[in-house]
Amino acid sequence: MRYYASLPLSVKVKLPHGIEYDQPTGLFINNEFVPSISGKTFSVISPSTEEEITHVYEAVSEDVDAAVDAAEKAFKNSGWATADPSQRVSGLLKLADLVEEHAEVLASIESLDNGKSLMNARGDIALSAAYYRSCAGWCDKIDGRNINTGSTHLSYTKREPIGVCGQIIPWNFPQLMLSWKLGPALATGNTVVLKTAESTPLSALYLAKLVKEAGIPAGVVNIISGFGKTAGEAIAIHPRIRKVAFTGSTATGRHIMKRAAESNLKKVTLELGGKSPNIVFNDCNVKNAVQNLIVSIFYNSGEVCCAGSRIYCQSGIYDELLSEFKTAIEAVKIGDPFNEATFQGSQTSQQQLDKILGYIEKGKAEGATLVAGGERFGTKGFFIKPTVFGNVTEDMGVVKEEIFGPVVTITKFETVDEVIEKANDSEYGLAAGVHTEDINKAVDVSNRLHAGTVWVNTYSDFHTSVPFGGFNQSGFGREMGTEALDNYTQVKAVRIKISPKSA
Amino acid sequence: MHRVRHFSTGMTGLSKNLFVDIKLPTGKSIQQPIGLYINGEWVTSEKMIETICPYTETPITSVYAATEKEVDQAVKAARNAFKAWKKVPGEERAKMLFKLARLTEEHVDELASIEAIDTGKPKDFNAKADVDGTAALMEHCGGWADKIVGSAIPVSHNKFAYTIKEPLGVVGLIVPWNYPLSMAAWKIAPALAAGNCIVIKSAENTPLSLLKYATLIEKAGFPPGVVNIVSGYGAECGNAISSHPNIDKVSFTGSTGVGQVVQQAASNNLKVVTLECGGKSPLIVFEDADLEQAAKWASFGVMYNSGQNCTANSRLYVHEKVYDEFILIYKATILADYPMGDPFDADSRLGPVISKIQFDKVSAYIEKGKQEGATLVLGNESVPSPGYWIAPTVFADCNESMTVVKEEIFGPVVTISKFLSQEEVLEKANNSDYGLAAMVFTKDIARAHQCASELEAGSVYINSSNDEDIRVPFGGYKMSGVGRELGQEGIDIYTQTKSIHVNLGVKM
Repeated sequence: MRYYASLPLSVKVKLPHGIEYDQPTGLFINNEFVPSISGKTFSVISPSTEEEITHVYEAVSEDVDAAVDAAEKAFKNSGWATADPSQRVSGLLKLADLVEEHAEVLASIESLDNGKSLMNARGDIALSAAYYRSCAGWCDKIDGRNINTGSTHLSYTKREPIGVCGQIIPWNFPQLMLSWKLGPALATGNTVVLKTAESTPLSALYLAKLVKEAGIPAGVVNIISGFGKTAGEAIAIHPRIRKVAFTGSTATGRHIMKRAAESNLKKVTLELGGKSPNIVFNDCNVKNAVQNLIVSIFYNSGEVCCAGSRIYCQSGIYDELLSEFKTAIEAVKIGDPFNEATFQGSQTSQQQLDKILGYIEKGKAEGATLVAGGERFGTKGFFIKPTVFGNVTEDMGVVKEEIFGPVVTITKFETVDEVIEKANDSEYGLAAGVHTEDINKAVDVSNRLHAGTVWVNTYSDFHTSVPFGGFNQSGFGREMGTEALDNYTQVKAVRIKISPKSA
Repeated sequence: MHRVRHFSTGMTGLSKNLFVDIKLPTGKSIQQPIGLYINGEWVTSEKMIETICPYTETPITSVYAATEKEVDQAVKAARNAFKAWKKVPGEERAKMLFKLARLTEEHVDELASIEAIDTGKPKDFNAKADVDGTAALMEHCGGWADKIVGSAIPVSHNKFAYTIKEPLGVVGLIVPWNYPLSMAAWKIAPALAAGNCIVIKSAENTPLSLLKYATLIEKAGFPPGVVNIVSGYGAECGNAISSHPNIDKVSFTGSTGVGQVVQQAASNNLKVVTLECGGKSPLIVFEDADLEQAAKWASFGVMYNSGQNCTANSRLYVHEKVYDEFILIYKATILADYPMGDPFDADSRLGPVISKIQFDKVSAYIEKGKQEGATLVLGNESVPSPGYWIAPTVFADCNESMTVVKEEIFGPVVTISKFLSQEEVLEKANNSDYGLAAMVFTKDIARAHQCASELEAGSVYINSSNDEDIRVPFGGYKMSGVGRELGQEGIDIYTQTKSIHVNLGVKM
């Protein structure tokens, strides 16, 4: 890793399709980009080419302190929490509009930094703008209740912001995850210190420029690049951060929860891993089911927390479905993210590539049958071919553990009861897919699956108003929907005694 | 009396033009639509209404007036547009409302100027605030458009039920002349947020600002037929709306008398009715009140907009201990804070009343007050001329038998009565067929909230008056109205609930 004597706070980056833009490299604190206090930087690699894009400044705990100072001042003094909420409405609406104005650049940065296809990245940006816009509409609607306890008291509740919130986001959907965190936190009047993933710091820094342009006061949003063990840790243990929201692996989530408890019992919400079952019944529409299977595990190169990574296919349709699935896989275009026809880009890093290839070897070793893929694609860039394992048993590592790549297992089943038992036999519980034309079965199976989201005849099909989150060790707390606001507010009950005086 | 022009060929001037230029006192010219806005087009009719400027008493222009025929056209357009409009997702409606909010902000000066000319209200002190409020409401309701949710009710493992909050369909909106654009916004914004199509009629006194607003609605991207705007007479056009068999809901703001007519007319097809009607809102000043603040708010509450305000605090009840002191402060406050003057003069705080009819009506009440023996504390200040000016009028030493204490005057006229006990004043305050608002001034927190809970009014203000907020529901008890506007409830009244029962296995 190279060390810059002094990295400029903005560098020109030329995107593969010709657009050149100004990439901020600093830490975004108090609406300004600043170098890290130590001057330390780290390298950012383009995973589809393995080439270095730039360095960015690296935050460690002293930088986190500076960000928290800024966020705390802004919470107390900027008016973000206390002024007329129409200020927040305005800020978030402007941010949504700016994201749409800058959509192509943001999508391009995302593809460059994460390796996902430009088509995917554009979808992410559009969703994130829509989410900022939806959150904007909430700002002036955070009502409590007036509770009738009789004529002696006036009893009401208020939903107040928590204060400085620490947010740690992953590398699989940098912009989208950023919006899921910033949106509700800001709408409810909090201020934030947000750390991006070390693999993918770039698009958030670009968005930081738009935060300032949207008129959001200094210190309300602070975005730092850094590593989990240093900057992430500093957030988890910080005594003046009152809440931490984390999206990432279950193991890291567990660690953050421990640190949060030990330090100052800061509130915790977690969006963690999954090993989501995708159930295909005999009476499904095969063509549609196959399309949904493709999306559920190969979209975003399988780097999706709710990916449908274990397929359960009913025996009556198994052969037909598998055959169609294999055909559809052959049509999946994998390669250069900046090629408009590409569906599947690269994995996000060398580390991820190695981990996934490791699981593929494990699957083979465990005796599973490689039905499709099973190897790296090309020699440059972290690409993996869409991979399917058949003839698996429920106790295999590839069936139980989260692989987080374009690798799926497929298992035959006979009855509804059998598949529900298998589907629920997991410490995870993030999502599930059900493919059937029988709506009663769909609702019944949905009722019985232990998952935070059940998709019927679709998959990875999000909407800004519908909550998303996990059962079991997939996490707790919900993002999007009205439920997201609960993550960032605390209830204050006020009881005023108003008994009549005599005479 | 408005002069109605019937057109025939050969008439020069306004005949076939659908836009006229209005020259402002500042010298600037505004292009003013005068047609009917139906199905995204400007059309004419066989009737016209002349609109008079209340501070010059001269005509501004004439606009086309809708008869039953044009109302029917508008309803057809709305019904047709609804087929596609009801499928437009909430977030798309939200975007259009947000755009309309921004367009409104960009055109504040123009809209405020038109409003000032048509109503006589001071441009800077009144009209501008109305337009700002319109923009804010469009934005606020835009925020609701993608958040109208039903419930999911887990009845049993064999049955599941859920509700959808659907738009009503085509809603007829009838708005008054005291806040032409603002009152239209109170109805248009939630109706659109909830997914309805609209036929809206302005008051015959004040058709201009809403017609101008149609150009912004179009620019914001609302498809043709979603919003249809007609000028017209209450008896003809308003009635056509209230009784139209293909309108799903009528929402009316105006006098209680007309509200009753609307409600009856609406019964033909059982369309939903919401009404915002008159008021005679009591303002109570207890002995521990901050008298200067009470005087400021109580002035604002009855002099703002020349008292042409449904929630005007038109009868004050002041505790005996502070009665004389309060009256002195009150009189001085009104004289200082509400100078009459040309609406385009930035210092003006009080305009004329809207028309000759209102002028005669309010003047008659003032005479009545004098006859009934009330003490005239304020009322003989000289007024500008020409114009339907009425000087701020304060009657003291009033009692419950006086007409001026009981009936809605709708002008810059207020009565003051003395009281001794909380029980007594609450009884007097509630002794009214109206129940729109009430105001309580006291430092005693317990007393404030007790009074608030006992006052029969849709809005109670503690230590303020006429201090609405678009997020807080607004509406009347008793004969002041039916239903609530603003806040989440304001959105709900533009929806209907459909319950869907899903049988997952219950067999007969």
